[in-house]
Amino acid sequence: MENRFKNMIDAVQLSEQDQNRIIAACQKERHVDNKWFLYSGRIAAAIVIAVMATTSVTAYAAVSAYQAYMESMSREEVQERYEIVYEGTRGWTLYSRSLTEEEENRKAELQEEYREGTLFPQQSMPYFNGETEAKPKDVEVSFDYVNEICYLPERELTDEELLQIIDLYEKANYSLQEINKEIVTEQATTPAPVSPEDWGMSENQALTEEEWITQLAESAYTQLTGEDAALAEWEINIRGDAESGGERWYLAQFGTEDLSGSICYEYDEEADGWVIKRYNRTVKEATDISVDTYSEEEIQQKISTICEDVTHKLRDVFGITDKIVKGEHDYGYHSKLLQVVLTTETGDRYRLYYFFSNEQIRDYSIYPVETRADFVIIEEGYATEFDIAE
Amino acid sequence: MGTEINDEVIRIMRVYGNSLYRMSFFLLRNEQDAQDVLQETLIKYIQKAPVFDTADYEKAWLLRVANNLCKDMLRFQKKNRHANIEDLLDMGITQEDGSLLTQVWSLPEKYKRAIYLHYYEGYSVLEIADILGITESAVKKRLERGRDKLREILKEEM
Repeated sequence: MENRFKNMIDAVQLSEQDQNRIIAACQKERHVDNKWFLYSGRIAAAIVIAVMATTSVTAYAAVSAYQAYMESMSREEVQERYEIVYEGTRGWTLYSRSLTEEEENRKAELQEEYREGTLFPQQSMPYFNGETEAKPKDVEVSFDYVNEICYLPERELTDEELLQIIDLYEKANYSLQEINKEIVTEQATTPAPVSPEDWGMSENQALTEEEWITQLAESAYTQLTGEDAALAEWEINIRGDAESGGERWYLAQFGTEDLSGSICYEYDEEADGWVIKRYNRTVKEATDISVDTYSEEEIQQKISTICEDVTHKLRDVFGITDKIVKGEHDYGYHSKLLQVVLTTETGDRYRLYYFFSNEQIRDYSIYPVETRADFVIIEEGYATEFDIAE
Repeated sequence: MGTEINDEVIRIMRVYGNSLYRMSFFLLRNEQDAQDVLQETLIKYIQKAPVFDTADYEKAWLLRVANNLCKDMLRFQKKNRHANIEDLLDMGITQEDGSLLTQVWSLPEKYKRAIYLHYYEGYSVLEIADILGITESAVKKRLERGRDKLREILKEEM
């Protein structure tokens, strides 16, 4: 087995040509902002190489006029230029015709002045979506960002037109850099779910495991009940490998004057994070009303309302974002129990229970159908399919 | 660029290039992304200019950097076109290996890292923990689970 795995990996080779190309690219780089270079991947690499290919490497650092020029772009323009980079797939290096040697030489000179902040184009090159829009007729130089073609006239390009080409790439690079900085910052403050195995190495060292799960649970509680989690008393129970057959899960129990319940988190392999697997809420001393007093029409209306609500709950509260393709419900007139089963496009099924009582949802749980064999399964023929709310 | 650094880049590429590339390709499933990671790793090497006692430390450092870059790439890249069988054949990989690779790619990311470093690079649990920046127990668990899943795919015992 080990040999088979090794042989498979050995088959992956980097050609000498690619090795030399990468070495050459490294040799041209004197200063690279690593994050933007990385996040934009091949496209940014192509931009960097295309822009720098004919010139000596110049650091992006501090030419104040250059910086001010870039910063004069509105946030909307930066966002737009960032997004159009990703519309294409081939790397932004195509022209409708090759530049002449004279044009290349002039471009290199103009680029230096551009980067020194002493010369900018009078206007930006227009860009358009080549699949849905026509090429602008009032200009001879324009950029189709979907097909990644920079259209040039057959005649010799003017300095202004060459500057517009330079400007297009420079602004694209700048926009990538700026937006990716924001992404990094956002990710740094919104930690991804971690597994308990990584707990010791988590960057959130200031939080204990209990504090962390309490935060998660309080947030979910507020979403589920609409109430302030700070008003609830919490007890966190952590179950380890020995108790749950190799899996680790958390149970956050809460209690208020009117409610009690629990939120159970389990580690989801597919999501590579913690998701709510079960939620219970009980209204204390709820008066059981007899739903027998409800008319059939009122019962069906309640069922309809709950079914519509549950699809949003699955996504917004429980974090299950897979598209729901089927919804079924079964109401037990004797048990006063409404079961709703949702099937996602991945084939996973989630069951929710509603107990009709005192015109409130007394209890509902959500978990993958396969894990709770002791509950009544909606049998074929008894369940009623309903339309999924968008 | 100074001649010394120039020579160092060439040396790193010749000695470790394929190893870094293979790991990146295994994790990212995309030739261009893997090459980007390799290039970025070399650039970081140039910028940081680390000093190592031994070649083992040097390699571990490079793998750690490349691994972190792969994680970042997976998190932030907007387009993530994975190589398919035809792409793998174009790369000179056999049909059998290519078919196998596409199945192994279905392993969860964190298992793949541990599996690759242990079964291909031959690192110990402790060394893998150092490279990946996680605990030894986490490594053991990932190897155990990754091996179970890999066994199902490869239908052999490791």
